[in-house]
Amino acid sequence: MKHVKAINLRAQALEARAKGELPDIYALQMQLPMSCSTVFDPGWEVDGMFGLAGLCQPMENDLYGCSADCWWPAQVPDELVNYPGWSDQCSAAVRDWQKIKFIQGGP
Amino acid sequence: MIPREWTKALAAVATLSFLLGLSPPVLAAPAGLPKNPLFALKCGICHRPQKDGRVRRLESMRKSPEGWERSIQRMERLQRVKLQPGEREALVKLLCQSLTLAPAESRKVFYALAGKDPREEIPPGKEKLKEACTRCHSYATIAAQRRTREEWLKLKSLHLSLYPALVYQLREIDWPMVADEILKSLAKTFPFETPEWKAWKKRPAQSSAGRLAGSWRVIGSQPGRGSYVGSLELKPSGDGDYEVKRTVLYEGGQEESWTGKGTLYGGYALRAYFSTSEGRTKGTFSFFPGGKTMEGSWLCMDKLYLAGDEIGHRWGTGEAKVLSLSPGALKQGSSHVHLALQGIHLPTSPRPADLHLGPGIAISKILKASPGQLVVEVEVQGNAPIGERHVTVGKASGKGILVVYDRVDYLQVVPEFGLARVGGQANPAKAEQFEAIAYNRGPDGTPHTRDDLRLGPVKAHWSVEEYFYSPEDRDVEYVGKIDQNGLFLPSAEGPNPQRPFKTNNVGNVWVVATYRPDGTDQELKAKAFLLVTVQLFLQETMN
Repeated sequence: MKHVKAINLRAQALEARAKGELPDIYALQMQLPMSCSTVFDPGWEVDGMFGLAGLCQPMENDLYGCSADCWWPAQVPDELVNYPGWSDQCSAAVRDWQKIKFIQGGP
Repeated sequence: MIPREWTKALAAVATLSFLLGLSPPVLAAPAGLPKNPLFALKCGICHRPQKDGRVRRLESMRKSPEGWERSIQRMERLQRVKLQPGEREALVKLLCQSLTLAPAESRKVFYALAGKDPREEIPPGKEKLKEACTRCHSYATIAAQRRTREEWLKLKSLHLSLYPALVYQLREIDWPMVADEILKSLAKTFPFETPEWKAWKKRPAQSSAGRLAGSWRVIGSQPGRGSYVGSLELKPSGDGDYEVKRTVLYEGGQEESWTGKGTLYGGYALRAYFSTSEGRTKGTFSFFPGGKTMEGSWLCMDKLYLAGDEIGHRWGTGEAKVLSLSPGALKQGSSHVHLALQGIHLPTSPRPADLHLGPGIAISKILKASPGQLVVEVEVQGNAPIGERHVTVGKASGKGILVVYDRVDYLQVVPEFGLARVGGQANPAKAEQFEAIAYNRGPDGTPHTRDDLRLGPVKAHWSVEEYFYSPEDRDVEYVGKIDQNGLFLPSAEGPNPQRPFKTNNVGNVWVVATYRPDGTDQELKAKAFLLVTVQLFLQETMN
């Protein structure tokens, strides 16, 4: 491998990663007490390569796929058990995303 | 059996004490859950005492105040418990009288309770726990609980009922089987009964309020704003509640004064809420046994980048100590430096000879002297040895708070891995505050080794650079901006029509600090990784 040279950006990024410029990250806890971390494969915050290319683009495209069956229950209200009907007020997330309720504290 | 004569004598002493108006003897803290009408009304229908007198489920687990709060919120959400304002806090207070973490146990998860660190270290050898637990919640969520073996094992059913899709979500492992294995291990690691808890339970029940009340000397720092000194006044207002007044003076000269209300949980954990000019701010304070020292942290819940850590020493204990110095790093050859020593119970009329800062530093004048602060003028010789200094003045001393250096060798940007969230319209944005910390190579002459000297934050020039991950994503143009105080403010949430696929204003970038030390033409540079990611739609533990 020592005779192979990275010539494009992605290859250079991979090379930098292989050299250990970025240490392993295993958790990015939210900034609030007793809260939750991420799933990285992909997660809510980051994909398995510690980037964002693996996430839905934009996130709103598949938001209800995340919430209805509780893929990321720490970050998005799950509608299966804990917050049924959370998305009822907004049927098209990509268009009406400002109507989506943010749940802060309390039951 | 107690001899009858002794009983008579004890009764006579008790009667005499009562007649003389003396306080009754201090009682031991309640061993279990005390009887309480609110608890009986709101919780007692399901959580009934068993034959052995223990309240079903609850007296088999211990949690932090935040943990109990979250459990009660779940009961409100799913079990239709209706609580009036203030009742949730009253129930948490009741549960924490005996069913909370001992101070020594709480200290290990203080970072999570205070919400101050976005990263955490999971102990080595916990690979299965990382696979099955901490991919969805923090390790502190586990480590801030103590349960009987039976209660730990029940968590499998709880998870499957609350989050039934997790079996498919974590489909690459056999979650139910792995959970069984992990929960058996956790029952041994975090049992309900521990030596720390047994010792803590023996504390005098009525002593905490009086012991913690009064004035505390506070020393702390806020990333992006610098260090501060001040006071924390605690005035009991009954039933474990306090009126809290916090006044601090920043090194830049700004003074801030907050007043708020606090509740003491378990005799040592104070949670205080302040209304400040920036928004609602939560103070998390933990008092150490003996009531002489404490550690604290605060976080503005409306602007999560505003946060600080502090320590406190109680006035009136008589223990003298030097807590911090400003500046905390002295350069060789500096002259006429005004050095402020912050401390507690410092001598009020010291002579220069009473102050010792190590070889090569001469004290020329004492400018101000008070029990909390001593300001002196010092001369640092050109050949003063570089390294950490032990500071003493009279009986007071302090370690690791002063260094002597010859030059700035390198910079470090903290946090090394930042996390910001887009927002500001329908969802709160999360900004990230960076700091550039200067370092000296230390006595061994080699940079990036353990003896390097931390010189403190410096005023750097800040910029954001592309982190090459996805070709042509041009994240720098969309994710947000950094100001010259190191504060990164993310862009708004929602799809952005100007980006490919209308994707959000998310991305990963380098945050770069550039600094030129005084008197040199050498430019130092350091960078940190910043992930600007999607917003949250849920924050359960915010109150």
